[in-house]
Amino acid sequence: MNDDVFAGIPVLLEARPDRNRSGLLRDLYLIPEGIVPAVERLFAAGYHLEDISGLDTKDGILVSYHFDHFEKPGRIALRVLSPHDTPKVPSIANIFDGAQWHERELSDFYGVVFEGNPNPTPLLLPATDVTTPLRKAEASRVSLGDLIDPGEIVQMDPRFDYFAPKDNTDAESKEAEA
Amino acid sequence: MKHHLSPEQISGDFYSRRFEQGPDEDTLILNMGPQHPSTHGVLRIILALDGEYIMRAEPVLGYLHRMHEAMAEHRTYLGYLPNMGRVDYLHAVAWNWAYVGAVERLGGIEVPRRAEYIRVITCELNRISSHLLWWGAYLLDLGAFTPIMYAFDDREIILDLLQSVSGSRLTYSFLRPGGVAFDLPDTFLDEVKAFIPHMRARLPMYKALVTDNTILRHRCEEVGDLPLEMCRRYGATGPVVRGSGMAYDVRRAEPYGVYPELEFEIPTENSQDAMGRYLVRMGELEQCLNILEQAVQAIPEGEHLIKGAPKPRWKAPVGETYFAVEGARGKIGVHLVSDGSSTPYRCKLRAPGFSNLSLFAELAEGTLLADAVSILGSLDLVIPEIDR
Repeated sequence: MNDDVFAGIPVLLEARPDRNRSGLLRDLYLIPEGIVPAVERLFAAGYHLEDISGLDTKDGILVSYHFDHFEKPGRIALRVLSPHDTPKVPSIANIFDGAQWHERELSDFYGVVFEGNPNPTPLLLPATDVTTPLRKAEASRVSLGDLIDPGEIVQMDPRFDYFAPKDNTDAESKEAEA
Repeated sequence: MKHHLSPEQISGDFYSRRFEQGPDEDTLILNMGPQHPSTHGVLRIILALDGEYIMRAEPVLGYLHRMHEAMAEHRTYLGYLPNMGRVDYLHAVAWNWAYVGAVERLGGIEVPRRAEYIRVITCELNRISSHLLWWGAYLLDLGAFTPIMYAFDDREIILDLLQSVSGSRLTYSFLRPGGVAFDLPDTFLDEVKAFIPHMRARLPMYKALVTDNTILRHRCEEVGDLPLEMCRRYGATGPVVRGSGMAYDVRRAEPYGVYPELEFEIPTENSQDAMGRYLVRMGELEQCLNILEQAVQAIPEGEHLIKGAPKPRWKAPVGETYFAVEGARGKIGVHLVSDGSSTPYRCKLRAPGFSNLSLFAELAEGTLLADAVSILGSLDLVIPEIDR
């Protein structure tokens, strides 16, 4: 796995999760402007898009992109956290054509707008009935840190503090990196 | 002549109004589906035709959308399991496996070796029954009425076998986190051992009657040319990508269960046409029998379900996981997130047919309508999996 595939792309948090438990080899949280360049790198490196998955959390709507490789298996997750009020993420459908449908499905279920999607029409839900059924009631939302354990944190922007340290050792190592 | 139809009745619905560019003397806008014998379920494809040639195609989904992913958030972990059989009813054991595998990852639950072998045996039997139905239905689409009768004859043996162990003929809810629901009946392994040579003896007949048939070959060879690069752009997996030359199989790429202990080949073709995808699936029938032969010999005695396996109100530990298996149609993925309660916080279902169908609009451009039917059949689509 070429560690430099994301070199130069601003990363909010990068983690090496527990692969046996999470199914992920690498996990990266990006700013919205970073998703297109990151996906272009993965396209150039031969990856394919498995799916785009939404998650309604207290901290926003987490859009998770899952990529894998036909010849060098190892799942990579790219994530973008988007605010509930106006969730907007740049579309990657011009890089991976298959993303068009995945993004439309997320628009149906969560109301996320994917700017630049070539066909932003409802995919699964009726065109006349926009209900965003996977959005949770505010009282039912759980914060990101209470859902996902990122595992070993490789680099972290101090602003992206959704994952509280598990114990003092993690807090010390993150202070040393910052 | 005065129309008795309203403007809406003439112009169709939201999707056909959006699709149609405006009146054009040379183009016919045709709805293929949602009721159509060859779309394999409730699938609608809007076509712009110039004579018999497809200028543009757009699948319109949602006619079988039941919001399975929302149901997950309102059921317990065990209570959601029957949904998996209804997602892809043709390879229900694989969807069961993808889901219980994700639950086992989250919960750190182990599976006894005997249960792992039971899973392999039932999953591969299910794969054969899925491919047999695909084969018969594909030939039906192409106008041959006989093969489906032979396919269903063989399929009936498998349905009886799986019913004896699971209670269901089709929508199996047979796996459990930590193993399988029931141990094998006493006669099951002997019956599988009898089925393997029976099925092997049928395959040469299928080849002589159908695979080598000149009409089938003309309907499938050089139809639906799908380069590997296009598979990658759309995330196509399974026999679709293996028919384009890439030997990618989740059982080898992300090993699970006891597949690492079993020897089998990954049938791959380089022709990247409908015939290639057809030959991959026919090759997989042989490989399934290969795996079954090893599994029925190697299956140990032991428990079919781990002690302390999740009970109905079980709470999954907090966390997130992604678990994938190789289904008959390709890579099945379950992305499961738990908040520590007794219902999943999120269960995303990654259906292989969803990605496989998404390439159809580009693949069908410029083809004959009859070839589009052949292309759809070669993708092996099950619409409930695509719509969920």
